[in-house]
Amino acid sequence: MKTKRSELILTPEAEEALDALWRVLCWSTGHTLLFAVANSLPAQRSLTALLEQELEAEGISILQVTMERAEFHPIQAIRERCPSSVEREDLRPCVIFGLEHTLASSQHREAALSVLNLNREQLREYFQRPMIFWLLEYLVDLIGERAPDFWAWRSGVYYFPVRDLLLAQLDAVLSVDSLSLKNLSESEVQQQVNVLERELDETLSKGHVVRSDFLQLQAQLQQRLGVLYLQAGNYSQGRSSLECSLEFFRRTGDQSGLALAYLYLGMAARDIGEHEMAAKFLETSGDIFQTLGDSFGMARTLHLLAAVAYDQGDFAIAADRYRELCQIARSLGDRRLVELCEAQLNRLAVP
Amino acid sequence: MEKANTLSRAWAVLDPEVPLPSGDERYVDLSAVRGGEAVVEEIARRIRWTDETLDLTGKNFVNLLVTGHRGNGKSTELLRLKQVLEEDGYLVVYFVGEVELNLGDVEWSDILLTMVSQVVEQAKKADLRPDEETLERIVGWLAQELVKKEVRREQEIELVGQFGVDASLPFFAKVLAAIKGAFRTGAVQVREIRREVERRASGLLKDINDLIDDLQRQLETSGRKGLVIIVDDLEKIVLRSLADSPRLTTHSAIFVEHGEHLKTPHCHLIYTMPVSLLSEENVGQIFPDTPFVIPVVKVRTRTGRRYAAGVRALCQVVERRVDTGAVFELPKLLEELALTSGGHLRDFLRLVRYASQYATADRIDRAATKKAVSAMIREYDRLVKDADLPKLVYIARERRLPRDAEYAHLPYHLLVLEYRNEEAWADVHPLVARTAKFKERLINEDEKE
Repeated sequence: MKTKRSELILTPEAEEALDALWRVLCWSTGHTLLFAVANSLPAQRSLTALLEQELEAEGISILQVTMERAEFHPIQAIRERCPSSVEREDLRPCVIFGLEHTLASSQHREAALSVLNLNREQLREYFQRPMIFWLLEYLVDLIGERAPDFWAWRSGVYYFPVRDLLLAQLDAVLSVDSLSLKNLSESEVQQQVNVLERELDETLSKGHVVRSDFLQLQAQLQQRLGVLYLQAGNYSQGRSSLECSLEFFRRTGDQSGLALAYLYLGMAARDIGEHEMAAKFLETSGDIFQTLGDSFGMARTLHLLAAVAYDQGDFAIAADRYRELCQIARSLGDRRLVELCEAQLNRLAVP
Repeated sequence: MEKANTLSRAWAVLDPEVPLPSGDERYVDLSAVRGGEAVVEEIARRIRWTDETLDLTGKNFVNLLVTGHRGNGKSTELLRLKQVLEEDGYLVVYFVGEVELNLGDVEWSDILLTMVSQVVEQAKKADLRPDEETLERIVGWLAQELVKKEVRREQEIELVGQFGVDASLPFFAKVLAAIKGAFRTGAVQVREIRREVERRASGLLKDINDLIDDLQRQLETSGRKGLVIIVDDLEKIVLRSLADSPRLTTHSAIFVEHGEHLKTPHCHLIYTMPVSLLSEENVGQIFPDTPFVIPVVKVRTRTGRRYAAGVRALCQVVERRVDTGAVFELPKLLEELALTSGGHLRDFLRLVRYASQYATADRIDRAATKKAVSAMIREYDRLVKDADLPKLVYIARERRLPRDAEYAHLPYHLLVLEYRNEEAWADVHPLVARTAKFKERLINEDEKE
């Protein structure tokens, strides 16, 4: 599966990061620790391919190492995956994928972070070459906080807020734009929170609000608050408000509200790279939309489920989801959506 | 040495992770602008004085703790201390915890046994002969614990087989090499060895001192000065509460609970310790001399005024390695980066390196330094939690770091930097102070008042 540069939306920041990373790889002659950050695994691969093409002109090739499962000793694991014959003599930059498997595993996380933090000398000893660790964004916080000595050795952190063009068009058609890209400031959020709370107060002050209406209002308020917090990048608060709204919707029996809250929770989890949790929320959301016979809701969850599979590099699953989505789009008579689904299916069929 | 005159060369020579070898002409002595005492000279003087007054006061050795922020030149200073003392005629055994020990799981016994191994190794290089009988006493039972065999020949075979040590080494060297491997890898035998060390503590400590006393005699006979041991990197020991005694942490267990053991060897001893232990009163009962803190370079005064001498000294660190006229569009850009770093050496070098990466022409211009600063603000921003904001505002206003466990993680993550001149003071790292969330919080707090 190959993505062309034209298929990625590279923000100016990402373009700049790519240039800076390229430059450092041209300059490095010994051990250099670099972190590259992108929330989509295919984007990580595509960007590496782009980098490889551009470095080729300078006579530099890249060694790619994938950690396909959780490891207690990531340094050892990387070493084992490097062909032993070239370990010391070969100074090619080493790009490492898959650290998220280790750091997402509660069983492995602590041990692995401790190994990275306290054995960084081993990295220098084994790898006299630049090492680029691809990270999902939330892992940057985890490493900075829990492996501070490892983090302290960084020679660069490069953020790639890239989006896949086709996926972005599907997001727009289905109104599921990435929440994290909104980047609201704390004061903007606070302003809108104040507006929402005022609305609620005004409604309550008019009196005659029966208990079920009150619960419904609370549910909607929490849902809107949750989305706002997510748009400001405050995931813990956003998730907590959405979970609160789930509880209210359960009590009022509002299934549509419930499905939507699960959808947002899924989007939030996807934005921070928690793919398994995202899939779980989205499947629950999809089941409820299906029970309700809400085709548009189902289309939204199917697209997001496909995107989660795509982010993880599970292209066969992503294709299955798009096939289902294509059928729904046809039944809805939405020609634009059908076209986008077919384009995505064509792309996923590329070996 | 030729100075770097291109961005790529500047980037390479400013790698903060490659410490300058002692005596390197590019070294800049920052002790005057750190505001505190000249750590190297002060420690060296104490050791000399202690030795000069030895006859008057009986046997006496210096036991000192050194601490400071991560990446602030601690190792460079300790390596310089080693050189100064060696020039004086001392045998200095310097070893790095991160290399020799498993700092994720370390106890006092690991440190002392590693020390024995290092002393033996370094003594041999210095043409001394460690007493084999004493070594035999130390390693005899260790070999048994390591391989669970009683016969010497079988022990040797197992040491080579299980731990991959060189078969041609003498027995004691095989055991010490195996011990080192066991500590580094956290082998299963380590727990049993520690248990056995606890049981045999007084005997082991006596044997270690017999070994060291003998080496000290050999040094004296050959006209050299005494033995100094410097253990670096112990400040990186992972902090956690101990399961079997929750009032103790991994830090206090080593430096307080077993601090007396660390002081036992009959030689001058210098250990680095975690900065969080500065607020642990009991450390002072074990190590009565105030720990040496290597503070960050003062680039502003406590009242916020620019401190020109500090800025200049930091700039010199770059100027000794880089032709700044060729690499910077304007000289003041380097000074601005020095101020932005808050005087933290590694961050300063990182800022210059980042600016090199972001420069779009042949030289670092304002746009490049701006991007470098933004990149680092973003990195610090991620480390600041909402719950930290009130504490950071307090520190920014009071310019001091409360000695309170709740604040200990702030200097640990460099969100707060500690300075020392007439007195100790602290401030929020300038890169943290420039995050949107901190500025917003500060304004909100001001408005409340």
